[in-house]
Amino acid sequence: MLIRTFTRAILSAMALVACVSATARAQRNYGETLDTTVALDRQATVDVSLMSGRVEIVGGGGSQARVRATTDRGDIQFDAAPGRLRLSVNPGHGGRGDARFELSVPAGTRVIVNSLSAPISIRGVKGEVDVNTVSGNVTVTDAARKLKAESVSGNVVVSQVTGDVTASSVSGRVDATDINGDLETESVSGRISMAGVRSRFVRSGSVSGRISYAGTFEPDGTYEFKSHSGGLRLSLPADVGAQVRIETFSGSVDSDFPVTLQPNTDKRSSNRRIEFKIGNGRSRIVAESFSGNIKLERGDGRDSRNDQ
Amino acid sequence: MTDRQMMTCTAVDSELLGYLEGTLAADARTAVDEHVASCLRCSSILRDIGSIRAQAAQLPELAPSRDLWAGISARIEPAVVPLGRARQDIRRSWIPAATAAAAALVIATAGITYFATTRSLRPMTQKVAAAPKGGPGAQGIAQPAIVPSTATAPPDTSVSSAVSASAAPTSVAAAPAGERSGGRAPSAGVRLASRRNEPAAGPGEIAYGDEIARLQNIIKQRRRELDPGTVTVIEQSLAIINAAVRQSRAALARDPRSGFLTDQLNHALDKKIELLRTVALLPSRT
Repeated sequence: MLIRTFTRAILSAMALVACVSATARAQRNYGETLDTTVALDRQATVDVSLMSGRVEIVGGGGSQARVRATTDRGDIQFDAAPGRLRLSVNPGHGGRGDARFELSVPAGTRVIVNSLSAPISIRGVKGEVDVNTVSGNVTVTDAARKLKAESVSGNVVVSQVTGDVTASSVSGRVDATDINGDLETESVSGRISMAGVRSRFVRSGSVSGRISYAGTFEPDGTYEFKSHSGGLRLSLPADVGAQVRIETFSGSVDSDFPVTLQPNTDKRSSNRRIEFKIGNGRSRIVAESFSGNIKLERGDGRDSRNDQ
Repeated sequence: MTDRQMMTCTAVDSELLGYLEGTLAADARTAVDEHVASCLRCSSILRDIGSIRAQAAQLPELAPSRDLWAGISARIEPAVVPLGRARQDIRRSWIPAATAAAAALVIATAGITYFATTRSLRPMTQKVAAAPKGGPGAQGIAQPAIVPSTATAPPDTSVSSAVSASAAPTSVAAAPAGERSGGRAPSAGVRLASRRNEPAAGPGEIAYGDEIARLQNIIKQRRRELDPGTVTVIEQSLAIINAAVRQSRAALARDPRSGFLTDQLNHALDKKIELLRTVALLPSRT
């Protein structure tokens, strides 16, 4: 009888301890750390997402990816196969704390990052990059094939890309430097700066953000710049050959190149429209702004002063 | 028409395709050749076709320029929130937000459909909510732009835009034939009529009204899920865009035939829709 009572008491105590322990574990906020190396194909996809914190991804040689991740709170979700690596934070267990992700991946890896507020840095991956963030800054250097970088209020800075680029921010700055491929940049109020661009297709649009472009104007290429109130500054090489159309409602037009009005200029229109040809006229340049000033200046295709 | 011993013109006609494609059997081809050599009709046909083929081969390969395609694409895309555009790689932590957005879209679409249906059965007006003139919240997140009113409510044109759903098709049809095609294809959505003290919304705006209203409804429901700092940025950006819309519209009122100003207005409206879509798909801060 005594033994039975004692056994019951022990079992009850153990159950209570287990219950309290589980409750405490469920309620506490804990972080995690991960440091591992996995094999990864050169064309693999690395998919990273987090709410806040920091992301740094660096491309390198070899066929392995090293992953170092820490969280202030929340579980690290990690799974890897030769063709895909996923890294994120489980939002359960109070996973709203910061996370710091540092990865080195084989060159050629496709990288996808989604974040709410974390600054994102991706360097030397020499592969496709797709980045989306709400308020974090984005920096991408040395990507290839295709790059898409978007932020709402963060700055988007991309450089040394061989491939098509789409970069946009609503209120943040958009910088695109040393791009060799089609280029599209957009903003609402953030200024857009493009320099060292070698492209046959460039399109840039903003509402109030200033736009500057310095790059080559390839034969048969199309280059369009449009804003509402942001100024446009285009730096054209001295030997450029282009058919140029400039149009503004109330902005000013300033050109370092001699402008000869074409007979088809519509003098009845309230806005000013100027069309002229430079050199062989093979490129097509369109610059339109409702009230922003438009400046065409001689340059070397590298400088992109945006000091209007 | 001339008949030959072994082949008639009709028979040649039936074999012509194979003859031109080079898939005809050798004996049949010989028979056609013999007939054509002595038939004025068939030899003329063959010569004409050969000439056309030769000229066609000389034509350069045509492909629409990319910027042209962008315009076409914008016109043919359905005016819905592109949930499919949602990142394929959306994380589990953001799925509730996406689900909520999708549900809100369905509800909003159903609501719009309901109103459109009922409006077609009885006269009804909608009015654009009075927004603080020039204020940063003008048609911003906090205030949905379009508020349904009852059929008996007197139209308040002093501060709002009257919207007549029944007049929409007429308005679309009555758009100037020479209107520059910079805008999107007119939809059967509502048409924003003019405020008394502001220039009339041009035909280019017709297609935007319903989608903007839809998106603003979604965003209104999502507002609390979003980071306050982000909401502030979005409201400021919408204020900038709204100012651009007002300025473009005012200029267009003075010069209604200006394609440039129409493009500028459409550009601003495109930006607005683009921003609203982005906001509708933003991940929740939670």
